[in-house]
Amino acid sequence: MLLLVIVLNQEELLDDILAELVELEITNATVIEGVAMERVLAKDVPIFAGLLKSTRGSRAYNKNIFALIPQKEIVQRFLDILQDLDIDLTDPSIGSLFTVPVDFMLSPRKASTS
Amino acid sequence: MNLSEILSEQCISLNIQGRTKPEVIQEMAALATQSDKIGDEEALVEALMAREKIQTTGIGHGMAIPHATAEGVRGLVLCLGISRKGIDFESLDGKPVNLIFMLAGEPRLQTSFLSILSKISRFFRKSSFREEVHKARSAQEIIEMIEAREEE
Repeated sequence: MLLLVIVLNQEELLDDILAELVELEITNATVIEGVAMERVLAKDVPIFAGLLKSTRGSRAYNKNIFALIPQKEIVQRFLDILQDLDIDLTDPSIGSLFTVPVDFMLSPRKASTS
Repeated sequence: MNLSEILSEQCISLNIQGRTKPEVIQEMAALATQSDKIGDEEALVEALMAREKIQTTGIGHGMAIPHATAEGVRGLVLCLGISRKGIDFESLDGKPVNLIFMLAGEPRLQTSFLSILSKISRFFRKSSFREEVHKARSAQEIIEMIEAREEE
């Protein structure tokens, strides 16, 4: 079991990325609104106000997607689909992605479908 | 799950006759019934129309994907219809629809059902692929195109 984390700077790609997770039968993802660290520092910590200039043109806000992935192979399939859609997560203006092993999980029982 | 696993030649029509959404949904449901996986064709039509009332499945670019889960459906059934004249499907972009995928599934297969919807949407977002399928001369040719796309 892996935790897939996608930091998506290009927020307009969110729908595509969630749709592709659904295609891989990953329907447990959570999306969290994010703010770039530089933006927070520049706005809230006076000494870093100069960062505001350097962040102009970059994305201040992002979406963070968290999803549990049962097998590593699914991550590879996800990367293949991203490539098919020309979504390049090696481009920092678009976003980044990483996985973390999950060694414990307390999950809710599946709802009965009967 | 691959599209080619649930799309059979008997569920492909290269010449859909209906010109309106209700006519086409009726026609697609009749096509799906040929798969022997539809227990109640009328219930399927009702479920498809109920889904259309939430929001149109005419997603634009000449495509519509009417879909519903319904009791009486066994497994997943995918049908493809091609309209030569175009259909007023109340599409999001206001343009007539020529390519209709209809997906029906039993309610317990919700996850696979959503996965197939997503896959159709991804495969057919490429206009070149939509045009290829639209020009196909046989159902077998379409299945071969989809199989080739799945192997990419």
